Amino acid sequence: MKRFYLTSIYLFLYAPIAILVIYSFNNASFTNSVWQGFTWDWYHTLFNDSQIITNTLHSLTISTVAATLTAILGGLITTVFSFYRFAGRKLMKNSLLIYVVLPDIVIGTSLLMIFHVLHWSLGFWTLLIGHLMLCLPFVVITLDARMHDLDPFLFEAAKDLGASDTTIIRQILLPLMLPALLAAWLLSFTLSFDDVIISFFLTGPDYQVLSLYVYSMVKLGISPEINAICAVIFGVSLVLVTTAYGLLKRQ
Amino acid sequence: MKTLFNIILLLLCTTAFSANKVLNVYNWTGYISPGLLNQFTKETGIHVNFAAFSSNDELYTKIKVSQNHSNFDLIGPSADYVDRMRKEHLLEKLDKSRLPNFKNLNPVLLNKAFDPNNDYSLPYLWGSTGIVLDTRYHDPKKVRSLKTLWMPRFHDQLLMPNDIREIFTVGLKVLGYDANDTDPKHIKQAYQKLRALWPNILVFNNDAAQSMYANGDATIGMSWSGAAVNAMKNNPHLTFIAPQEGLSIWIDTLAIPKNAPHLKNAYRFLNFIMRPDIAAQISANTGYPTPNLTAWKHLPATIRNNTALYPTKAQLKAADFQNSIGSALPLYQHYWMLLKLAS
Repeated sequence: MKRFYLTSIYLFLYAPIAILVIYSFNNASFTNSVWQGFTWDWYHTLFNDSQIITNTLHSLTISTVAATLTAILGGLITTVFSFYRFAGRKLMKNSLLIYVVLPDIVIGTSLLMIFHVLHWSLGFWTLLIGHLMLCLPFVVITLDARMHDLDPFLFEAAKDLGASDTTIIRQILLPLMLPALLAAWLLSFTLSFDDVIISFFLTGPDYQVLSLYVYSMVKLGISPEINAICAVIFGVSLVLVTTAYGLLKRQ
Repeated sequence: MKTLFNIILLLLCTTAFSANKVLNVYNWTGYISPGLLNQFTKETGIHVNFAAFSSNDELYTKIKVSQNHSNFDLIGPSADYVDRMRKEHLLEKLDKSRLPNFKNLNPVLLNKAFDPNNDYSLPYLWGSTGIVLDTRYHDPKKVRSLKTLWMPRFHDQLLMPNDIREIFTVGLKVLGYDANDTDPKHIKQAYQKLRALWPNILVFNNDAAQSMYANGDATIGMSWSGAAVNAMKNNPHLTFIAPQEGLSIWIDTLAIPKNAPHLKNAYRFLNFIMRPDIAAQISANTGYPTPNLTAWKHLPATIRNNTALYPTKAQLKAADFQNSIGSALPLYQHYWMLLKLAS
């Protein structure tokens, strides 16, 4: 019974992806056609399709940069909130959390208006700012939860023994926060990679991302190339996760 | 931190092509294949940034909101949006003397009401909307008119385009009105007529329509000609029927938005795509007919004479060209919503 329960959950999670990967080898011109034989053609077209490749690289860079910056910014913000007491701290913290429930469309349009007033042309930087706003509140929530679990006496003890602030941050705070930082990084990476609405408003002519590209395939039908790129992305993340796990285990 | 800085620096370098060797195109995904863009870059040294939208409204919003500073050089609105955008002064007037390849275009598709004299737009791809059916399940001889779609035996079977204009065209034409009718009384009648059609509709779909017809998930309905012909490649039992009431014909265009930063390159690109060899390739890649008469003359006879793609002269004469409905649009949208809610 326990085994059946687990199997069905894993089937539920992974069957759609398995089907997606299988159909990337389907020798038919539409993505959800009946099976018509095995082919590598879609991978071949994919690697010759500069548009999809460029858009994927754009997506990967913007997500990596956004995730890294939000992890740093979020880390600084949570540190300030937990170690310093100042007027308006609660208000500041809560106003940041409002962003979690704020619809993307509001962030997108308001940023677009600001950039328009400032005469900034849309592109990498505008998109990055939008994605920072999208990810930051989620990062702060993740990090804040971990920070709450930390023993405050650790820091007092360290100070008592004469450790400087830099030593405390490097030797105690960072190692303890590392799992949460990693989780926050992954969360923002995914949020940013998936985002359609904010990206729609803030992308310019020379910086297009994959999510928008796939979304706009409606006119001529979605090609199995998309199955192929999804399979590649899934494969790469699988390899990354396994190596990360292996490395952590060895440590 | 240092690596991050390097990444950002690298990014800036890759995006910063020398300013006058760039062209920013905004069009439907798949309309221009990457191979053709590479060929253009090879021939002219101009790098093309291709951005895609998924609906005319998206395109319109992006151009309108930026108030003529969108940085796009070429956009691909459908006919009715050309009309709307030129009236709102969002489009640059085309200088025909800079477009020597204009002579290749098919006169049948030029000088339409949405853009008299093609002052603002050029036809890029076009197509018709007709009835598609699978001959294994239905007798094509018995389906000649749009009226047959209302027959009770098609209950829950029709696959229709998810497009307000296409659906209302069916309602209006069955009643004998023009596809671009703006008379509120006629629109209301069409709405009432369409309500009766609703029980027969299985699903509205644009992007998966071709695979649904090819797989046999849908056996009858209406579809765009290119999608129907693409589906026929996988399912030879399909047939495309021009209804007695006449086809409805749509045109997707290319236009230059006002204040395009790379105007000269935009003209070069327009001439490039109007070259017969390039136009033929675009048509082959998308499966939709080419508006380029010279290109059409050089197509293989099987494609050139395929009336599903290239309707006969008589069919073209009887056809309605989709045009802007101007201020009647909100009324259409009101009834469209009522229809969608009813289902």
